[in-house]
Amino acid sequence: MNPTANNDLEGEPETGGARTVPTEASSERTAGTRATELAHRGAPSTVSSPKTGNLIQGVGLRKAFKIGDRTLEILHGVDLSIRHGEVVAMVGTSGAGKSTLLHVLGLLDRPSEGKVLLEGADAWSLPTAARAELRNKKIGFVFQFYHLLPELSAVENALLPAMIAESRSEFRRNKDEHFERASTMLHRFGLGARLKHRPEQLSGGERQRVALARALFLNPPLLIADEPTGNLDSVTGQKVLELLFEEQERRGITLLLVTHDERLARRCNRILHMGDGMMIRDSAIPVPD
Amino acid sequence: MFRYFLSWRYLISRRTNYIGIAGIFLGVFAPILIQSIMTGFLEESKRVLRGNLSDVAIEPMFAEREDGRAVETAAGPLTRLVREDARVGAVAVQLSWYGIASEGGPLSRLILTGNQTGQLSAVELVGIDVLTVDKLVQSIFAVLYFPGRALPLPPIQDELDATDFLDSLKREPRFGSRVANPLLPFNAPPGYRPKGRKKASIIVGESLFYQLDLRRGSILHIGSSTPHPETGELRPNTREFVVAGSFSSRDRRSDTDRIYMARSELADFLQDGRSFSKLMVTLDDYENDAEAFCSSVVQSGDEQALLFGDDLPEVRTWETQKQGMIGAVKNERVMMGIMLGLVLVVAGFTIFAILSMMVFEKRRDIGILTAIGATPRKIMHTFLLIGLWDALIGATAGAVLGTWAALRIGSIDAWVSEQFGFELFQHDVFAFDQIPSKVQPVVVLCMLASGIILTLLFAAVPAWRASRLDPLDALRTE
Repeated sequence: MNPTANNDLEGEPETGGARTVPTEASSERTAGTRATELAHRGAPSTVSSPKTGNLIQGVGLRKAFKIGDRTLEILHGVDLSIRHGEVVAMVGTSGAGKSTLLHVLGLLDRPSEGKVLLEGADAWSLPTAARAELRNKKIGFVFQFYHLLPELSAVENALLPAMIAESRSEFRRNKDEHFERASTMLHRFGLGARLKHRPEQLSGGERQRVALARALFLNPPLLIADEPTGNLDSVTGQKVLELLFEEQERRGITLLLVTHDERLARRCNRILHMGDGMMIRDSAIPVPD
Repeated sequence: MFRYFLSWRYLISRRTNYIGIAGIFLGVFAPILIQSIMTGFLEESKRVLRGNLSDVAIEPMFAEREDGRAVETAAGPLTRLVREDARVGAVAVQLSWYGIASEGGPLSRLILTGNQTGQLSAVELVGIDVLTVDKLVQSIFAVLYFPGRALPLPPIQDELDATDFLDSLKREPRFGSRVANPLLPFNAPPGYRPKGRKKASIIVGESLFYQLDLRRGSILHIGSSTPHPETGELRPNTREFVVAGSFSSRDRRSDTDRIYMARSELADFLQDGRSFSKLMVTLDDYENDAEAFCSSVVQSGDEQALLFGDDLPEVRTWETQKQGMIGAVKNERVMMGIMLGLVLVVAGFTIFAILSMMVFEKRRDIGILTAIGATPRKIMHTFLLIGLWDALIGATAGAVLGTWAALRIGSIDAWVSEQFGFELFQHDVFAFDQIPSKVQPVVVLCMLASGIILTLLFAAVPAWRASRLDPLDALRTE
């Protein structure tokens, strides 16, 4: 789990990846090389070279909801910082505020008070479009319920972030390379035979792997996973987790994982314990710069 | 990029969208087809209604004016005034009156019973000038004495120049019998051998010709009453005329109750001192000049006491004369347009309903798209694009097929009649051979644009709602 171990991004994995590559290994190598070039072109600069220091920080985060005349505060001033390459688990009981904090950090839900600093920039002070671009390029989401678009095939779902990021002419220009790259990723994730299948034709584990491919397609420096195995049986869930950790390690990205599973949390560098809308314990293991 | 891709994918994967497209198709197709038919109907009706009318008719009221001057009863001054106007193509003088016609013998015997037996008809007697011989003489004179130069006198003009009378003589009649020589229509019919005094020739409307069971050469009794020019006392006149043939103006009313004869003959028959009732005027550019011409004639005629004035409708275009019928058809066209426009509005509501439903169904997708970087604006565009595809496909197909159907309506009518054994268009009700239709490109373009704009307007609300959805509502639960 050394974040600096591998910055090969979408390239041919040096180890392990050979298990899942398609028979046309040479073609994938070419695709992988192109994909790497693309990734360097389109992906945030933070990913193309190892970075140190804080990737994301929450400062005095409060979140309150109005229910009729009542105001219900879910987050009571949370402070946290997560460094580049860290693998962080967030645990806590239901209603502890984990998901709310995740949504605030993921720039989906505006905090009532406080700041989210993404690579030092106050993300919630940015205009809507700029914040959307941050979500597109800097943050990858994996949800418990996969959340794939049912009308799109596996490969189309995987490259959706690129479709959003690029204009029509850009996408047309890069279309073949994107498809090749998405295909290569899905091959590596064991979905080589499922590229054109729609979500309804895929199993839960397969869907979650497509969701992971989508989250990683633009090589974001931060991957947020909200109970990614919560809807899977233990065997399938374990496979997905292995893939998740493997990709984190290969890419050296930051992983923020919400889980109820203590065993899973212990595989991470650091565990954040949430309780009653507050960070009650931060069992951090320092990551070397 | 995803906006185009995803909107198209949503469009083709949801069958409900096809209902929207079909609605827009109908909303564009039906108005184009019906408006084309109504426009064709209006134009055809105008042609039929016009019959033998000229562009403008000037019909002075012969009475003493408020300024004490009497309106001039001779045609000459008014004719000169009109012919001086450069916009005028031709002028002809008419004399008209009303009477009763009978084929079955002396009128007195039929007055009480003839109406029931169909042998007696109320008729409009129209005296016209057909000066073919004079025109020929003038042409020869011009060639001989003024070769290559303009005549010092204005060219002779007659009814054949100012109205469509010649066409109505040449047209194949449905019931009647054409005159032997349309250029000399009041010549006695071939084979006419009068016993005693030669009777003047008349030309009868084809329906009247049929109704009175006439033939070329039949003798028609015409009776009338006219006021004495000095005492004003009504005096009966009766006279026999020989039928030279029939005319077919396509104006059902004229063809049913009008009889033409030489103006001099009618004046002689009526003996009321009048030599003309109205001037028939044809303009070189009716569409552009009619209104201005009428105004200037009213003004000049009033100044010179050639018209009674006092806002009486003495100068009227043929459309004004037939405004009742033309107005009815125009109104019908507008009403049809409004009603069919409602089809488009209903189609717009269908799009609204379908897209609203889709936004509701796609809340989760909207949340996902937001999470992976789509802005609210792009999400709004995605749903607007679905509306745009609906509009482009439906409206374009509607415009193309609507135009095609309007152009081929005759064949479609024939095909439907053949296949299903009933007539779409009852030919005996209207005086048209087939369903009239005229495609107006401006109408097609307007309907196409309306279809697209209206659909986008109706799509805008659900699209805006989609952009306002809270993505977390969708992402929190399965």
